[in-house]
Amino acid sequence: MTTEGGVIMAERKMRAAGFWPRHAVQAATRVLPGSTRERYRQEFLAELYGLGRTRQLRHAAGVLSRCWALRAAINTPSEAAAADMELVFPRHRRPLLCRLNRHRWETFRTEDAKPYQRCQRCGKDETDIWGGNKSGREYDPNEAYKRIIYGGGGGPG
Amino acid sequence: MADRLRMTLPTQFVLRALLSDPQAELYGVEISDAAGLPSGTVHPILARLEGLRWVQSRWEDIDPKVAGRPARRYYRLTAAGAQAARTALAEAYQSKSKRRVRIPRPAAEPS
Repeated sequence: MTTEGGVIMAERKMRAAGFWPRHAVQAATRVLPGSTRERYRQEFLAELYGLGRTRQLRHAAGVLSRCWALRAAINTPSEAAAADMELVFPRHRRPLLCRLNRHRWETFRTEDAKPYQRCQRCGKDETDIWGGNKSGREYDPNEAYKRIIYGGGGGPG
Repeated sequence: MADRLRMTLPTQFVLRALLSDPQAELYGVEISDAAGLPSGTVHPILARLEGLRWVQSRWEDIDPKVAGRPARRYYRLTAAGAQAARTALAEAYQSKSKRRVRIPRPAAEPS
């Protein structure tokens, strides 16, 4: 009985949106254009439900810190003519830890279910210019040579 | 005026997350988890993608009183968006590969 009550209390505690996160996401939506403000307020509040207390605070802080970016994204005029769309590939400045070769590797799978690793921060994939990788595939000097000389990339798959 | 979509790394991560199952509907927190991005980063990207009609969104069809929580906003790729996203990611990967190696291509291949 006590345990069941405890579980119910814990669930309620986890599910409800806390005071600070709730007010933070409401403050975040104040900078948005009036036509979309209510939509995003409801969306952000709904996302708080089901998260733990710490996660709620982190989520609210993230939303609050990016509210001007969201405003800019909403205000960007978008033509329906997606066919005319131009993709812009900016040169990325890699995060400091990645520049120091301290990547945050995570395992992903290709379409044919082969595992490979990619850095979560900078997007670098496991295959390096020496032909080796983090998955323990064998080092192939011919492949490494070709990569250096001819710039052979090879997809993540 | 042509639309411009900056294919930043977070944009690519969001597209990859959505492309992992193009039929699936995900809400903001699920997308940020799948993309490995901090909260708040995905919403501006989703707003841009929605403006370009690569992504469509809808409110969850639930009764908030019964579910005990407000309805969430779910996002999914449109058919045209999924195709365009695949092309854009492939292009992004190629441009990254070109940047990676700076040694010029020799005139003739060694035997």
